[in-house]
Amino acid sequence: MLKKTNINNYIFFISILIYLIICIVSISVGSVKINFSYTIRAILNILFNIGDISDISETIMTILINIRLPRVIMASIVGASLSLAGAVMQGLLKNPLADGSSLGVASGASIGATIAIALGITLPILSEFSIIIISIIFAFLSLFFVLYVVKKIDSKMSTNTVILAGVIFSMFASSVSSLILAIFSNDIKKIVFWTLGSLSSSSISKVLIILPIFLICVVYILSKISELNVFQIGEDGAKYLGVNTKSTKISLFIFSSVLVGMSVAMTGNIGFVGLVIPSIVRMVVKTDYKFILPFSMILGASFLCLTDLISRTIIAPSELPIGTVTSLFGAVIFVYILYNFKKRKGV
Amino acid sequence: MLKVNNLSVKLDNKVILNDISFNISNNDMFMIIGPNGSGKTTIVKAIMGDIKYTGNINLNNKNIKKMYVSDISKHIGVLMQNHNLEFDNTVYDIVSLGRYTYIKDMFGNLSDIDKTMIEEAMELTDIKKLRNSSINSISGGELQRVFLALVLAQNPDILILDEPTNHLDLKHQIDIFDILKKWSLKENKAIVAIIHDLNLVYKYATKSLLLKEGEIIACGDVRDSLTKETIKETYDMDIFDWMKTLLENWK
Repeated sequence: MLKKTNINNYIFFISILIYLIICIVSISVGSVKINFSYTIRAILNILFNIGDISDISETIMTILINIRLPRVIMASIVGASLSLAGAVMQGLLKNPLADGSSLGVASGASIGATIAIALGITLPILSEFSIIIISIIFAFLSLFFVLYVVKKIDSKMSTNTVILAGVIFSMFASSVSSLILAIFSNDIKKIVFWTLGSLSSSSISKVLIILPIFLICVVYILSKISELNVFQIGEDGAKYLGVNTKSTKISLFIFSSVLVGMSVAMTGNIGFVGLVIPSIVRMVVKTDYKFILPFSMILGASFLCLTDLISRTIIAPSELPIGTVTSLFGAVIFVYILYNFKKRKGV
Repeated sequence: MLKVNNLSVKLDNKVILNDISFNISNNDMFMIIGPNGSGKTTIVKAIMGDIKYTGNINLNNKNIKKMYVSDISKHIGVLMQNHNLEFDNTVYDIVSLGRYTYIKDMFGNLSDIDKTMIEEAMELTDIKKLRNSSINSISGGELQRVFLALVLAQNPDILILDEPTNHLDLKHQIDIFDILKKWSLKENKAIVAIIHDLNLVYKYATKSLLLKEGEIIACGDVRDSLTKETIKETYDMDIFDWMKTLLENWK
């Protein structure tokens, strides 16, 4: 009989394979169709300088490098970030309904973006990234505000206080965003589209901003696998086993929120990924964070690449907001899996 | 090993513990008894640094306040009262968490020593056959043995148990204390238990501490401290006579 670890390793290998296939399809399919072999050869050449690509036209290479590749990389990073943050938050808060935005960071980023769009704020330097930078600033401000309030109310920062403060702040932030929308109704379409999320503005420069932050957060979070495992028996239990619960919790809150805030700032509010992907992963690989975290990243990246492909091809040449597609598919997939899982267990 | 000197705790100007002192040495089965609200759990909370207190608590001659939680966890293990698990862990997953403080691998992989300690803890608590069972599918008594195995795998010098046999039937209560006694003698370890059942105290304790409204009524060797008079003073009731009458009725 295969051991659980070996089964998980096989599933992980297959997941990576599926992710790579989705990437190649996503890069190849669009208003201009690109031959799969061109895509594979071009990627190998760009990344590893392997093979000859002289027969691939310059136009196709431009589409690949400037449009499709950045979009797929952005979808992968955002999908992986939202899922990873969701998995961490669910573990820390011991609540399967938590996700990366449980501390109100996504709503905070949304206020920033709404203000930037409605008031037409452009920063003197990096004006192209004004919305992103303002969103990130607001995401951080919300994070520290919520953590400050939680700390004031409850010095132990217990799970219930954190969840409650996050929910209340998110509601408050949504009201502020709606208020701004109501006052500046001229930009309503742009703001609503942004709020529902889109990867259409992905570019190499945006990828270069998000990639290092993503990698730092991922390395830090992966270094806390053992702590996350221990948190499963509760905070007191974790402390008695030697975990510095307070600093671990705060640092993981911050790194997860950075991942979410940055993702929301780049692509708008893409719902359901952080909630549904870790839950699906838990059904497959159970409870060891050594598997939960990498699986969540791969599945999240695959899911967002696939939903982005659907959102930009299903009503081409128009594009659906990706948040609509993720929520639509995410909810259906989740209910289906949950139903089968409970049925199999006879619950 | 553990020295508690002049421990006092105040919460909202109410005295919870007043000038409590006691020592724990190897092989001690130290049991704390007293009515609800007498401050028993507060002693554990103070030792584990969960509340503010005055006085001194020294572990192996070091002030426990100045020690890192990771160092304390190598010497003191705590079996909690309640176990709330949200996810579908297996028994082996839970017991292996006891090795957290010793794991050096970044991904949490267990060493051979870790695996041996886990196996020994599961053997002692007789849960080997449950190894791959989901924690949600086992009984309350089995769950308590799983968490006992977790703290035994932690290999502490002192094991603190806060009402470890709550909700367990008499057979399971005796099972737990038999395991603890066996472990304490074999490994030369100390046990500190908060407990309500005076019969279990009399049967298993080597030392006892009787607490009432935050003050010590008696403390020391169980035969000296647990007497008809001290029990009466602690509970404001002649429990000794009550139990005697009860036993006669059984006949």
